[in-house]
Amino acid sequence: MPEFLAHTHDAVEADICLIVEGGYPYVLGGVASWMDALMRASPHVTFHIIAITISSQPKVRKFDIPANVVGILDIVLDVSPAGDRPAYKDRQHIEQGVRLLQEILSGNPDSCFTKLIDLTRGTGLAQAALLDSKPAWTAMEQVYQDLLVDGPLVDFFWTWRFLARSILSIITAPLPKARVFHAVSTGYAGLVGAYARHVTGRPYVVTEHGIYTNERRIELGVASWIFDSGANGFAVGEKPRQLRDVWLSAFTGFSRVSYALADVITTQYRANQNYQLVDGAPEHKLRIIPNGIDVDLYAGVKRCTEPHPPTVLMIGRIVPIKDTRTFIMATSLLRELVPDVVAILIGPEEEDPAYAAGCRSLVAQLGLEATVQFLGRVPDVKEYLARADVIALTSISEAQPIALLEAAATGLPAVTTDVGSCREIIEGFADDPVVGRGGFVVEACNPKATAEALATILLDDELRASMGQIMLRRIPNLYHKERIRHLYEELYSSLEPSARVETKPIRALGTAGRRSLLGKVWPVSKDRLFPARYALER
Amino acid sequence: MIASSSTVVMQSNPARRTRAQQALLVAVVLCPESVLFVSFASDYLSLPAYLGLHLGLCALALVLGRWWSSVWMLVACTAVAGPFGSLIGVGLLVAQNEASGDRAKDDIKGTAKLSHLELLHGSLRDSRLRLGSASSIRPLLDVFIDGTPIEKLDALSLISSRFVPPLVPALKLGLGDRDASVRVLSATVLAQQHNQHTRCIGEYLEQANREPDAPANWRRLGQAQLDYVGSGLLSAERTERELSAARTHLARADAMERAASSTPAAAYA
Repeated sequence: MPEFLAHTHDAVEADICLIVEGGYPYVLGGVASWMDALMRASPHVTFHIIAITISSQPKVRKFDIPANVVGILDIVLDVSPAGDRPAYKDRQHIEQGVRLLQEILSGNPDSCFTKLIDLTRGTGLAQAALLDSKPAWTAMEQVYQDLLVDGPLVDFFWTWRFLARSILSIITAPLPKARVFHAVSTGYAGLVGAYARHVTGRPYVVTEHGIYTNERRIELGVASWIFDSGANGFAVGEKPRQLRDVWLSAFTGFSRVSYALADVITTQYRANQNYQLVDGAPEHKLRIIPNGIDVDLYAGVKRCTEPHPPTVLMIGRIVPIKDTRTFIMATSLLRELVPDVVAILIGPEEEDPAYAAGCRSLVAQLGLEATVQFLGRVPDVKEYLARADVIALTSISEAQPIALLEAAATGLPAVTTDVGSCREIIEGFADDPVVGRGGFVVEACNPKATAEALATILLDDELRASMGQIMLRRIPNLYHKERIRHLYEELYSSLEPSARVETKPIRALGTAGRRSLLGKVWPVSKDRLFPARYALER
Repeated sequence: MIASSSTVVMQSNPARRTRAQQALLVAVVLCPESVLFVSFASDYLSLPAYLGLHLGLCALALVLGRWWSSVWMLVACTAVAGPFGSLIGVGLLVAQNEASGDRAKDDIKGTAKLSHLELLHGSLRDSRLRLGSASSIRPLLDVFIDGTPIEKLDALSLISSRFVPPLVPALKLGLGDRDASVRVLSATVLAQQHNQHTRCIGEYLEQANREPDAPANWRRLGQAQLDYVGSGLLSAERTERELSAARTHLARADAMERAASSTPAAAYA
């Protein structure tokens, strides 16, 4: 069992450093489960984890950490070291730093990110100079004029402060020793990967499950916490910038930085690659590596042959993005077509208790108490997969849902919304060796279409069996975890560190009284540089 | 407009601060300089000692006041002309500060006395006023037919924040869009609207079941169901069902109210 060491610089070198934002090991979810599975699939490979969080996030681990994890490092976005106290002669550096931050946050970063890293490492300037000083305020006023002149200054200030501080927090963080850095999204995780690539010269891979900028765009599109002046009326297109545009530009900038510095950019399915190209990812870096599941485990599930009511299964958290409401509405319509149908919902409810309560209330409104069962978490989902006749997935957004792959591996036909790679899984794609459909793809938020598709499968034994067979053949071919493990291990081993690897421990910013020259950093005490937030613990 | 007023605010604070700093300067620079000069004039200090202490004091003032550009002028005057220079420097600083205070006052007065032309310019600039006829505004539905994905996402964001029933067809067009992000955001906005109604109906239903004898509970429930019907979000079949349930609940509330008003006690009242 590897030991966790007090300081990252002294820790053993991991083979892979996985970088995740707001997920593993503190939050349950698809990407967190994927990370857990990736590490467990390769026990001979050692991993270090960088978890990007904010200070208000509870640091309660939701996963048992696998034995091949050698360390976990938290980077807290809203806490950044002060750095050196700025002197009069630093004014130019401060103005330059603020301009570089502006370029990154404007969505067109080019080489600004690496220049900013070099500036902070070379001068020792950080938050105290680039955010808290008077020259920084003056420079920020100009940024405000450039980015949001018609918007409220106070809102802009706090937006600027959070975004700029998060960048400073990232580029002043210590880095664990690792042979390859692997970010599991762009955004902040991608920035950390890009930072690691620049300062260590070690290879950097970015994997996108969903497209980060798209996901943020959607979140911001319905966010009620962002001030909207309403000045645009219902006009679309040419319009004054709003605060949400500032956030969006920042996230676009983060993705562009990630893509520019990454050696390889992977995603699970083809449709995502188009978005990556639009966001500036170089085509030669793009690869597809799908999700993998334990096919043998699920293929061994024996379908229940005893007489049982037609059963529809839905597996997923009871949260708005899974659109459980549409599933319940569809069940109501389905009951008219298949009166003895049973609908089983498996998934935790604690993430959004109000929504879950609303779903239970909807069941009562529709009189479905005898039809819909909320089971919460279950110890072994295979038992329910064996008893089900069809799996339903009504999500509004997905990438490549593991629950769908696992159900399909047991030979269960599926009805899903047209999100993520669900269509590819159910209908196959152009070069798919397995031809045919393993279910139906329907429009999101459409209970009627969902109910009709489910009824078609439930009422036709032959169709159900043939769709199940197609799923049984398609899944091992493409999504077997051994195949995926090989793909990742091959990818990792194919990446060589660049010639300019820094072999010495990384020194971050700050000096005790002496200024460092550009490009050269003076030795300093680690305790002073890296506060307790970086301490490692098991 | 916001920018200029914030500039005014920023200028006023340093102006107030400067008075205190000037007093401090007089204490820190002028007094020791005067003591030095008097000592030199009284032959307590030799010329080299006086010059050394004088320049040392200037350097110290520079180091202490490195963040304050006004100190440079004061130190330069003092270095050249000793305590007399300090007096001249302080006088110049006071004059400069008063001038900047007047400018700030002018700015504030200027904001209040904006001409009609300036007001018109401001209104046009922040889009409170538009030139051109109403027909120049592109209907949102057209955006979903021939707009770019970014325009569609912008439109969906608007619909999310300012939903009205006539916008439902636009949302439904978005559900079938070629771009996955547009489909996802359409579904998100649609689900958000549905959730608001079902959550509200659920709460009233629970309340009505808890207190079935209160007609107001059934009336609220029926009204919420009517609102859901009026939202345009429901399919034809579901509209029928929800409408029928709303009628039942409203009729129940009416019947309960009638029954309550026909009781002898109510008649007496």
